[in-house]
Amino acid sequence: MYLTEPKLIDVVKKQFLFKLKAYPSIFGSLLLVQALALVLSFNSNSGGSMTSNETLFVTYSTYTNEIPFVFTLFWAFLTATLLTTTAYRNDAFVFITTRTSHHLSSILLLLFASFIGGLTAVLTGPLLTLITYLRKGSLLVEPIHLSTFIPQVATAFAYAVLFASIGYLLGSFIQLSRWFVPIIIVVLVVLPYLLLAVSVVPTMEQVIGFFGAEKSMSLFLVKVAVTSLVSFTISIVTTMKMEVRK
Amino acid sequence: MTALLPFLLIIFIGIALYFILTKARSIFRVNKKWTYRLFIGYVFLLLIATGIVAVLDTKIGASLPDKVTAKDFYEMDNLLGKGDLSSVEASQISSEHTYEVKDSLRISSLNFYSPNNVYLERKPTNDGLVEMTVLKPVLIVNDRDFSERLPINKLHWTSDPTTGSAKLLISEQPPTQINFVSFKYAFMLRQFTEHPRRSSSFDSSMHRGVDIYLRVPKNLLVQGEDYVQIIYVD
Repeated sequence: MYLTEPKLIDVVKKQFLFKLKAYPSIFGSLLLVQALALVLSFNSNSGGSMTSNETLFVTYSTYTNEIPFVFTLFWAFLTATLLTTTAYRNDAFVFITTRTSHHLSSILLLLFASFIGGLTAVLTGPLLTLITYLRKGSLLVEPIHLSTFIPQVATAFAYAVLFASIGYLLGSFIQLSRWFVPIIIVVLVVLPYLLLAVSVVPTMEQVIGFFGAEKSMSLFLVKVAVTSLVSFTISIVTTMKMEVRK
Repeated sequence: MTALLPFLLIIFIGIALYFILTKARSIFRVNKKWTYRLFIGYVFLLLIATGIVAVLDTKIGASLPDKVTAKDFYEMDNLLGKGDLSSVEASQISSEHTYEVKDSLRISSLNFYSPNNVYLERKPTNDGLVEMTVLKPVLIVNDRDFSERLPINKLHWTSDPTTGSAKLLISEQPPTQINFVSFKYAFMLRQFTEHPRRSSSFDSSMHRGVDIYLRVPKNLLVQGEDYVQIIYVD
């Protein structure tokens, strides 16, 4: 019995702000990853040429922000995984915390970081456009409209959250037992190759297609939200009984 | 070995991120202010670039060719094949001519590598007139219509009053070189902004030379010669 009973939501809010200030490496690493991706994108383009009836010659090259976006997803995955490590967990004990508030504030931090990551990944598009335009002198590019910009940011955010939630789940499993490392490698790397060898490719295709082939944005967001919620819930439940400092 | 490069790069980035997020965390903590300042500076740079590109859109976007699909490309073939010339958009028509003709018409082309399509519709009467509609050549690259950049072949109509025969000669397409650079957003980012979504992000191109639609008198003798493909319209 205390005079002031702290509410979980207030504790989570405070811890989220604390973690936001205490983990500058999350955003520092995002900056480094996207800067590297941008440098790689400058000289990475697809393209080709065509000739028709020996009088028409067309040569074209296409630049994209594919690399910054993929690198951002990789960053979200790895950041979430590393957020479950002992070093980060111990940081949280500087403040009065419970397992639940620790997880919830970390998830909130990941959602915020995913939004920033997704937003900056989309914004690398105009930066690359500008640099390509300055380098090449002319450029064919889709005009920026809010009607395309907002769905792109939402898509990038959703994919980043999805990757972060999977990373958080795998990280939690690894914290439970190091034996999960080889199991995860087998499930994520070895099995797909074996399945490929026995022509059971649709399994992997279906997993990717479940999100990637979705045409309805609202349905896609629901799929991502449900998958992330399930991943985060499993992470919380499985690590709830862990020792305070392992 | 080059095929392994992306994997090696990913592994390298993974190790670097692991190092930054675990071992080198203290460096960022000590320079916390600078890390956030740098990051805010980076976001600011991205926003400025977005603003500039949005303003430049009016300049860059002005030269942006229209978006078309493969369906649009084949649509005109279908319309002409059915004899529905009236449904062909006026923007796709280059010119229209009417010539007097007597007994016969020979059509030939100098386009050895890409024979021209000539659609032939017979009128119900023998009015002694050939009505010719010249359709613009089409070039579509990566779903963009570059047709306006193609020159149109010259057509030569000659008639011999003594024999009563006429000849239509389609000259060679002048040599044309088109170079362009384009920018596309990442494939996954375009998941909900492209309708219909393309099945892949690969480049594609389609080209068709100048097509001609002829409405000829009922009993005119028409002969297709070199590099001409005559398609009879019922």
